[in-house]
Amino acid sequence: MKTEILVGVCAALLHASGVSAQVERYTSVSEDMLREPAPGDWLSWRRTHDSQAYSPLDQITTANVGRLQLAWSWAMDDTGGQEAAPLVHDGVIYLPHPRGVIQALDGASGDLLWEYRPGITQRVDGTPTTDNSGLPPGTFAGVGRGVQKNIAILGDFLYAATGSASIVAVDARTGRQAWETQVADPGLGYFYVAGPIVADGTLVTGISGCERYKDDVCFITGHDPFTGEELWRTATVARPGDPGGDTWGDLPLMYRAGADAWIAGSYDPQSNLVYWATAQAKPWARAVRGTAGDALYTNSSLALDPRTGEIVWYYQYLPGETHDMDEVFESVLIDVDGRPSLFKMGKLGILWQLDRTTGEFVRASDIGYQNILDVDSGTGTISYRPGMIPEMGVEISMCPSTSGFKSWRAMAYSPLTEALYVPITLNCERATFGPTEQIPGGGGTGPVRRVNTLHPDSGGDLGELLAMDIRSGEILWRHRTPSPINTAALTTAGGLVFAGDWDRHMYAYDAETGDILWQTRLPTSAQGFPISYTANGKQYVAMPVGTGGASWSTSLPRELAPDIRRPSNGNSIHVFALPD
Amino acid sequence: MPRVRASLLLLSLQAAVSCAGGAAVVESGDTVPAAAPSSVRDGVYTQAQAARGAAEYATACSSCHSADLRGNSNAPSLVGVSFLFLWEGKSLDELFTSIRTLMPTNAPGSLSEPAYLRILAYILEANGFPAGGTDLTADPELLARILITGG
Repeated sequence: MKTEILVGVCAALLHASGVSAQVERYTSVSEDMLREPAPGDWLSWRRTHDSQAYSPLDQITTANVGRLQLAWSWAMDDTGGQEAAPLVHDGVIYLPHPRGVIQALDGASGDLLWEYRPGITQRVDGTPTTDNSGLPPGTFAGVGRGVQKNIAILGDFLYAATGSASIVAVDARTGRQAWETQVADPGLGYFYVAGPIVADGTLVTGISGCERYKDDVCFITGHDPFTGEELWRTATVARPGDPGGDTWGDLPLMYRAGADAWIAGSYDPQSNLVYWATAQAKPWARAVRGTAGDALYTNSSLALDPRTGEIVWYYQYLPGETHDMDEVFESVLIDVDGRPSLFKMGKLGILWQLDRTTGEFVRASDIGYQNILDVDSGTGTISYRPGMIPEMGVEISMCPSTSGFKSWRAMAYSPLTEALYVPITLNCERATFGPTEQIPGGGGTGPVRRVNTLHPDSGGDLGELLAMDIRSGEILWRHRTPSPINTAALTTAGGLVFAGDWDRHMYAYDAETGDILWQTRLPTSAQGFPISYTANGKQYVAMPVGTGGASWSTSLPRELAPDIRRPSNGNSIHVFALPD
Repeated sequence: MPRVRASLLLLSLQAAVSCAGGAAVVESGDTVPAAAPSSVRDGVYTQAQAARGAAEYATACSSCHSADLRGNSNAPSLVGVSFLFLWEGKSLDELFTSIRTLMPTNAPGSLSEPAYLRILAYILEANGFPAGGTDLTADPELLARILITGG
């Protein structure tokens, strides 16, 4: 309650200072609204705190989706990789672009309401903002291709995390910057690709860029949304002497790398816990990083107290992981027969179910494409298959490749079918892991001599949308495509699932059967996080399109589906609706 | 996830690219030293090329491969033992073709051919391979004879 009053005061002060509002009739977003968004709103990166990506809108149904047509489209910043997760409030789309740009667009027409561009847009007090899209001089690590996945909204502000390791607050009415807090030194390699989430009045954000050797580690922070003040910082790597510190053998802090927190988490107001997952250890292979230890807290789910950052429980999916098999992806919170659960799938294509109150393992369901390890479905214990732990310089044939069967392209849940819909690409790799230098600034992922190969069960296809029953792990249906399914999934109360592929298709599937009920072509690859929302009472489906997107969108289709071509630019968003 | 390995498809693409560049090669043919270089240790680029290449690298490449060329999660290291692990024994032609046709990943082929050569020169310099008196050119036969060799 206190925070909401503060938001109102801030807004009143801004209006008194003469800043003209460009989003008309904006209503402040309360934490209650985040808990239960209006049906036409999309207020968290996966719509709701539980990251189910399910829209309760049902104007577009299995019966009428065949009449879906383009309402409008809008070109986006083309200077970086495009993996946007837009938000919608009161019919206005808040669209994150590459390189820190955010725009507010009228959801019905696509008309621009405001643009926030770092280095160009002013702060609310009229002073200039910092162009933080470049690299500081002398930096020893890059910031990637300017990816800005998700943003958050609370009160009158949007919150974004930047490629130069800062967090910014932007006035949702005007696009002016309210504050910017430098969280870490980008010169040490730190950067953000995932934005914050809001949990119990705190901005929670996970950092990336932790593969290079330095005397610090990756972390997750809590920030005050009104002042930008850092409230807590929780390391994602156990330091020497800390609990779990012995899981890195005798490696000094300098050589404990990885556990990047590069995908936004979820939040459960009931347990008041934030669920955030971590990436694999770096360098990728045990033989290269110099320890066969579990390497806590890599490839784990962390349950954090949003007020203190305390790790209430953790669960490590793949102790001592050694093939770049990331488990960092989205945490989907579903109650199964009264059991509050957390569902997670990493690159191996194993669906994990945990009790999200206790962190206790419930079930593991291997979709059956990987050849690296065996998992005990009753205990979750993994054991590497003979010959599958890489030695330096010795080739192994592994499925999946380091690209994974699963990626940042998040799965969605439908309460209608009680199924998860998972974007998959099928691939394998002949991989030879090689050395890095164990010196300050060295490290990294380690080099891999890589030959991409088709998966033996793929029939030559690279893409699959998979429907999985959450109780049994049974595969309800799978739909194959020649190119990777290159977007997150979206489910709706109209009985539909939406996703798109690298070959410029966007599909509407029947959630029950997997039948494609509607499809269209796009200017380049579908890529990002599709959403559904209302503007002026009418339902829309928005599909981001673009390039970048790492190996699913570059080397895999280029090498394994060479006959399929797509433009190498064209970042944009395409919005569909039924005819009036 | 390294993506520098050129596939067979790309090698054949490279043949087409090389043919297109043939005219320039003939013009610069008499600058090729009598004893053609066989290794990146033979002074195959000029300091001036590498100096300009450094600036072009900073603009086009460093946001993924890092300002110090050591890479990040999605981009392999271009220097030191990690670089040699991927490229030792291969020819400069293979490396040049990979850069020329695949990089930068969000705009492949968007730089000029001389710019790609200068960036390659900068990568060679950063690995400690010596400069020489003759500019590196895009002559595919010349590049194919120059092997990437370790220290």
